[in-house]
Amino acid sequence: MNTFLQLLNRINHGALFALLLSISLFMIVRNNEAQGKIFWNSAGMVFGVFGNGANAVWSYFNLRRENEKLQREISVLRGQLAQDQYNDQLVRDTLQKIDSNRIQIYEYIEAAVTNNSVDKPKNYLTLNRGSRHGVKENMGVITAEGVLGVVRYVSSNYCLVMSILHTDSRVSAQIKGKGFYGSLVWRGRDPSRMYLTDIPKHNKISSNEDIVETTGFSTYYPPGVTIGTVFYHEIPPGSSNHLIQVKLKVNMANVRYAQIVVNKHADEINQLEASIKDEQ
Amino acid sequence: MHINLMLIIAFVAGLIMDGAYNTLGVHAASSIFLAYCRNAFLSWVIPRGLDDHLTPSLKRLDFFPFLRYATFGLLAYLVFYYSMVFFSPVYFIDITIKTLLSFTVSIFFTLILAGVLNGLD
Repeated sequence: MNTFLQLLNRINHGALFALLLSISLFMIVRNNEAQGKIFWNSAGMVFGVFGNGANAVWSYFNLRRENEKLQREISVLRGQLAQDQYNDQLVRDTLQKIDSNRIQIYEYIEAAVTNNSVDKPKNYLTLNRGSRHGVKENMGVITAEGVLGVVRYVSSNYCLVMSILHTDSRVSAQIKGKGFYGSLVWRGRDPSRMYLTDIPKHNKISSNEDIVETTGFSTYYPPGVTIGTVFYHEIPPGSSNHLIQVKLKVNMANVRYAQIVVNKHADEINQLEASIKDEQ
Repeated sequence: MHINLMLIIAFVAGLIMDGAYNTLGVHAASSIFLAYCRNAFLSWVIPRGLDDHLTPSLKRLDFFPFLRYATFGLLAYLVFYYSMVFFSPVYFIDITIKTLLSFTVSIFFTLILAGVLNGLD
């Protein structure tokens, strides 16, 4: 008994108190339902808070790696975006043969504009269709709102279109319903204005009413494609022709999609016309 | 009496009480808390400087010093006990009310018991 008391004397009473209290608390939590529930709920809360804090700190240290991972994922996903892919699907949205007496002359290859310019004297558009899709040189390019130009250069997947906003461009155009025609040229500067030339001055023209459309006299464009309206006209002094300013319907600076005109009879017409070339 | 021995006695006594009430650990915790802080308020309640070996009975102390001693001890015990019973600070009001109610009854029985046990000292 004395040795026990001596041993007891050597123990720190604070430590003994803490030990006994811990044992008691353990027994309380372990053996009493209500207190146990409170303890475990509170413990969950406390450890939850600590856990969240630890997570936040740890994720902060991981930010750099996470960032790199996200960048990699972005570059992978970016490649899957539709706009980054070359759309190889062709929709030939034309009537193939209405009946046996009608033979399809014009077919259309739809294309998206991948590059465009309107601010130079010689403007070109790049379309995402090429020889793989049947695009050849000297095919016309139109949109629902007007003509865009003529294909000049073709690669396997792309073609380069000489815009109508090119100082060498000539489009055969007529005043709708009036039967006289001339050629539509661009004189630079304003991408929404072109000039219809070579119309004799005896013809009557009214501004803002008369519609300018394609004639179909070339192998480039089908007939009757609306180009724009007569914006202003005059007969310059000493000239025998009208000077007609045409307001284009299509906004050339904002064009996104186009149809490439496939004239199935183009080769035949060109060969035929080449046979009389020597005479001229 | 040495405080470590007192802690162990308090612990065992508390466990016996817990066995009777089927609240294992609650009384044990309270009684070791009382045993641990007893010296602190003993030296303050009893101004004459009694040493560890003195048992502060009603006979050795006067009535009012003993009442003070019993009050402090009882309050310490009851506060800790109800804290262990409710086990959460959200029950602060319950703990306070229960402590005060129990105190009014318990101090009465404590004084009676001290008077009865007076002769045993």
